[in-house]
Amino acid sequence: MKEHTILVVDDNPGDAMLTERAFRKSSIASTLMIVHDGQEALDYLWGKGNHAGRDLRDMPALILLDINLPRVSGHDVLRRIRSDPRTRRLPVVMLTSSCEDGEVGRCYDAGANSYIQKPIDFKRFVEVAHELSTYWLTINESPPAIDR
Amino acid sequence: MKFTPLSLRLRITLGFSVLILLSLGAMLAVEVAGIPGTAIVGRFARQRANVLNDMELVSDLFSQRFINWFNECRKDTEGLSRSPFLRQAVDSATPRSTLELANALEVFLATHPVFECAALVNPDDGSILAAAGVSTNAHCSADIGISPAQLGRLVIPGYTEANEIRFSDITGDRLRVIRQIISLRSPDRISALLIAESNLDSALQALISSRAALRSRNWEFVLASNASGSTTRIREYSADLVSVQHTLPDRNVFPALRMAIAGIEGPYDGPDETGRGVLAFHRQVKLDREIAWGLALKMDRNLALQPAWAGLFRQLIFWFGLLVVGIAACILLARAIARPIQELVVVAQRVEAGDFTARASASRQAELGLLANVFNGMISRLQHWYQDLEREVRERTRALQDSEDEIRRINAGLEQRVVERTAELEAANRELEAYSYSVSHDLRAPLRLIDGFSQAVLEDYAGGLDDKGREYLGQIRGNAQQMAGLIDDLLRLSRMTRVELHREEVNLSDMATGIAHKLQKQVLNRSIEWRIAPGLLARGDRPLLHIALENLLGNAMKYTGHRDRAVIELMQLSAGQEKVFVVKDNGAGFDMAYVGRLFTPFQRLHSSGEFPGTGIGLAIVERIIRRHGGRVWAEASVGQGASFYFSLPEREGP
Repeated sequence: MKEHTILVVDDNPGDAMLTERAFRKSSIASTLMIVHDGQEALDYLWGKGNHAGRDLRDMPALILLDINLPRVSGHDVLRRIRSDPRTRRLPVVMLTSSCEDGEVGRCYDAGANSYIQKPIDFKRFVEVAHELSTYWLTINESPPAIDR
Repeated sequence: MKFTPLSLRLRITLGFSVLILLSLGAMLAVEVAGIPGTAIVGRFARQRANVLNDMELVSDLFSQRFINWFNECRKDTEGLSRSPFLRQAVDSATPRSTLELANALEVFLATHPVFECAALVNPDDGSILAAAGVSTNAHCSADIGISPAQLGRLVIPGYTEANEIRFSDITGDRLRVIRQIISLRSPDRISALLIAESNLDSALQALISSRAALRSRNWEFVLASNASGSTTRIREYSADLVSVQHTLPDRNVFPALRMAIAGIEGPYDGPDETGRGVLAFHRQVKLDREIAWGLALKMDRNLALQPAWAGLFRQLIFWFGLLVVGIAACILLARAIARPIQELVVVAQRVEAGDFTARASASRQAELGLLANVFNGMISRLQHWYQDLEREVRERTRALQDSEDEIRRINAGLEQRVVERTAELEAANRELEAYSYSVSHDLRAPLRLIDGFSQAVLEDYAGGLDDKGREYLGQIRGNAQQMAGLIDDLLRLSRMTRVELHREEVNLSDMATGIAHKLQKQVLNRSIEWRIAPGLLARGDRPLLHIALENLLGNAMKYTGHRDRAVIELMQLSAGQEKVFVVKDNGAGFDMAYVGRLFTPFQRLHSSGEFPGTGIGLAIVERIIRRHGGRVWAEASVGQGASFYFSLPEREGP
């Protein structure tokens, strides 16, 4: 069975590294695709820019999306994912350090499937990463791929 | 009873009428009764005095005439008795001389009509020598009423004259004058007795009917005389000279007449013998030594006072006329006085109603005319003042409207500026919010990385680190986490100042009970007594008040941690415009010297080792209560527990 791809959108390389490590430590095997801003995330999804010519049938099984992103913000990325027929079924989990009031509601309104605040404690973060992959990659039934 | 004031007109009329009536009454009283103690006597007293005075005069006159008549009778007989011819004829005593004597007596009667009869009596045997008049046929003295005993007394020498009243129902009462006739030849011898008689009634009627006696037709003459010292006869003559005679003592005697008989002279006012009221004057008329008459003039009292009554009646009619004329004059005067005043009142009423064009008409009366002029002047001034005032008010109103417009314009400008400022402030607030958000986000992210990489080093390179290295990394992680907690607290605190307030009625008792249950669950092994007063109500934002109470109760629970038996209370201290509540515990308390730092964020009075915490809880409580317009303060002493007071206004505050 082909390993699931998880698209991690995080502008902070440290965060991205720790996220990658956390998922690596979890027992579920997965490939992490890390991009550092919203535009690159969209380019990856739609096969444009640096990712032109990518096989678009290989869509990530899960998108971990930060909110504060350079160029295109997390909200805009989410909205555009949801507005494009190719990507609108993709599960998107907001993974952010923000815990601002109203942020959670706005994200769900924009079509987020889940909202998780990054724990300060890295041990907790590893646990969260494990639970996330367990749920989304094994328990949850993935949406069917959209035919071209 | 309500007194309604009389009109001026009525008062003037009544006043003058009463004055007239009083003066008329006084005049009437003087007229009737006189003034006591002065010479002024009443009409009736005057009339009575007049009548009595007249009676006195007339009675005096009458008595004098009566006496005169009597004396004339005496003189006439005296003249005849001394006549030498008669004395000689008596002496001669011849038949011829007897005839001459008779002729002489006839002549005497003819020349003296007072006498009715005359006779000459022989004193020795009582035989009649000659007679004339009604006693012509008498032959002896007894025939003419002279007894032999009387005859004996009459011939006593020197006793030349005797007068007597004879009562006779046949011939009428008479006065008898008897004179001795002395002989010419011997002067010691009484040759004969001359007896002449005069009719009393005719004499009295003649006297009474004389002019002087007819002063009043209503007068009555009452005369009492006695004959021969035994019988008394009373004569009453009324105005028409009807004579009534009766002899005593056949009935009551008029008291005034009694006094007259007794010789008392004076006026009399009282009842007569029949009980009729009379006025009278009584006096005694003494004819000679032996003959005295009682005389009383009397008159019916009512008749006597009749003229006074008539005069009074005329006077009353005259006065009544005066009264009517006077009252009519009063009414006219009152109307004349009151009419201009009434007009002034009407004018004043019109002025009062706001008609300043009203003017009083000029009056002919001097003072009232002046008053009307002054009044008109006053109204004119009032009118001017009023007009000035109106103009002033108009100007002021206009000025006021102008300034109001100005104020409105300024207000509009101010409002505009407020709106602008508010928008600016809101923008600034939004910016601040975004800023604090990003600060918290940006601060948290590196912390998480510090923690994460420390953890990664610990896990992945544990073999290359000794215990010291692992401990240092543990310190890095612990402090990073504490800093993250501080940032979270800071964010919470700033959120308290930003969220909008929604005031509602909150039951603090229920809220505190719920919080206490939740808190108690965290420390199941502790014994805490929660004394929460029931029914505490306050107005405020429910979530914020919940946070505040949670902090206060949580604090109380935390600082009573060393007590075997903790007591935590929530009470209300005062009601009214501002309700004051207190959360009280019996915990560690604190030193009041540091109370000023209590509500400052991150300032702690106890070490984290003693009581854990970041020092943000009371700062949050303070912010929440301040946002409600209330105050927070604390009282405590070390080891004696602490009391945290907070007040909440009932009205919407700032």
